[in-house]
Amino acid sequence: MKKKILIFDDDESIVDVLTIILDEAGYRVISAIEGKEALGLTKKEKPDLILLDILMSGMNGKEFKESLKEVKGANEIPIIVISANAKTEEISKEIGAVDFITKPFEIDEVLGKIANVVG
Amino acid sequence: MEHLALYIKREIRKNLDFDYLVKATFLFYAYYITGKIGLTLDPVSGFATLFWMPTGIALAFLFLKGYKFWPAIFLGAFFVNSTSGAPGLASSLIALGNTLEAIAGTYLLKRLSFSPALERLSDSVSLIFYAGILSTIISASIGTLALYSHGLLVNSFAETWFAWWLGNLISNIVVAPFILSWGYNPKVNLTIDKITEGLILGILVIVVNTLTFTGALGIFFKNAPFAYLIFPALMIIAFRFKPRETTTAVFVTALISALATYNGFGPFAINTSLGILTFLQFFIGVISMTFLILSSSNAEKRNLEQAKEDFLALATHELKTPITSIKAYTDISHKALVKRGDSKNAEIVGRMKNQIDKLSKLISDLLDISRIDEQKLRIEQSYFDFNELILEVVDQMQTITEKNVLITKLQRTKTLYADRDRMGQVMINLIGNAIKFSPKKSEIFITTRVENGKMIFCVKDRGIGIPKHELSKVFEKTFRGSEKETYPGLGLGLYISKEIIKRHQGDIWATSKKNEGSTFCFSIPIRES
Repeated sequence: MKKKILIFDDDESIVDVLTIILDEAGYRVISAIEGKEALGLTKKEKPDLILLDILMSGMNGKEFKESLKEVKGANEIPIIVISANAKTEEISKEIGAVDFITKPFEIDEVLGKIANVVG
Repeated sequence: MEHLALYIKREIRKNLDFDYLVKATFLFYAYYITGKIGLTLDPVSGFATLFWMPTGIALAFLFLKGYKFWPAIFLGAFFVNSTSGAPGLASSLIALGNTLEAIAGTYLLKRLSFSPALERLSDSVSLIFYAGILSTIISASIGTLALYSHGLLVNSFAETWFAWWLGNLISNIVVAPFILSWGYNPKVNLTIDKITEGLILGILVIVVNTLTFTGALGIFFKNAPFAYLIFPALMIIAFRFKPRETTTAVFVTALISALATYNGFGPFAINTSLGILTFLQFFIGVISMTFLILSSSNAEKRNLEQAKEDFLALATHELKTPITSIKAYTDISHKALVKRGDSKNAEIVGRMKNQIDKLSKLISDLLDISRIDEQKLRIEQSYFDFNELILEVVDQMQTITEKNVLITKLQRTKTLYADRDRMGQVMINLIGNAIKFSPKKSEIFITTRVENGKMIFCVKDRGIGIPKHELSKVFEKTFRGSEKETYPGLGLGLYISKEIIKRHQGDIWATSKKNEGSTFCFSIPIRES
């Protein structure tokens, strides 16, 4: 069965290119550019992994993780933080993400890290 | 008189609501009580006092809460004077003068976009000049005239006017900023460290004042000008804290010194025709102006630096975003072209990839530079295997060059305590330079050795070398060699590398001979785990 990945990033161009990459690699991709949408999709689709940007206007990554706790069963979904922020590693540890990717990224790196988590 | 009372009643009724009444009553009593205190302290002509808090209170209150509280000032001033022996009309006129002074001061400040945080130099200057020096002329003039026209002047007109004006001036630059800065931001969010520091400095201020004004050490140091000691104390506060804390320290100084001087203590307790407080007022006035200006100017600079840092972080984040997409799309195209066997176009796209990587590195370098300039370059140290890092970097760097062969000759590995990413950054920089400046097919040697408890890492190339006169400048910011047209780049790499090595308490140096090649080395102290 295809693994489902949720991409949550307020930049549509990033969402687009990641969708192409992940789709090519054989994953099923759902995406959101806004907090409420992301929460809704998480509830409905129960993705196997969430790719999360942490520095966004509106709801930011940390807040999203907090609200995830309210969604039943969502707390166990692994998160990979993906961001251009200089403190990416620090923040990803803070919110308990399983891994992190800094922008700009190498495609192989992204696919490798995702495969590590969902297979 | 009747008309005035009716007018005031009407004004009060217009704004009548509980909140207003509570605040207005508060202002009235604050004005009245501090006013009475002021008038008991040896006033000139009976009514021009040198220790006068009400003016500053009135200005701060009107500015923060609104013009509509003026009746409280009028009534407060009226009763202060009428209960001190001034006839009704004179008291009304004086009250009118004081009220106009507060309104004028507030108006001028609002016109000048004055911010009560006092975190800009212009705010302090406006307060001193427009509120302190100018608006007070109104009250001094009307007040002295009122006394004069009722034959109440005991001292000369000039002396009375001056004492009145000076007292109100001091009030506006000592009391007003204290109330304004706290009223604007009453929140205190300090760390334990800051609170401790604040307490220590606060006690220091009080101690200095005590020394100065009680002559506690007088037996040993008679006539010693302890008063000057307040300057370093206040300066530390101005630089370590914000205008809000500085104006507090100045206010406390003014209070202690006024009380002490009035009771005959201290170097300023000299009886002049204007009363006992004049020389002290000069002292307090100078101190207040000096530290208002110093603390606000300092706060402005710090805010500006913070804004610059915030902007830079935002800008680099924004720049990295489109680059991320472009890089990813380029990568996808490249892979697709390779898969399809279209080597010609794959190569073109491959070059695009390299340029994008360069662009991305440039942006990171710019951010590093700004951090270095502000001395905020962060080093996160951990234990790691040095040789492992070297081999990783060499593997990565070998993929970007075909004409140069990277050869490693490493001594037995050691565990180093340093910032692994930053060390990698320096190695990439040195090896990258070696590759860049070795256009002909040649080898590049990467070696390590241990000497005197230090790990030494060297990159030796057989490239174009560096002329002697440029060698000493090669680690400077924006140094670009004489061949800069042929070898592009911002020239930041070596400067950043030097700063990184410096932060590790290491050394970095270079030797070179033109057309024969260069050797770049750095050393890092080995810390036993």
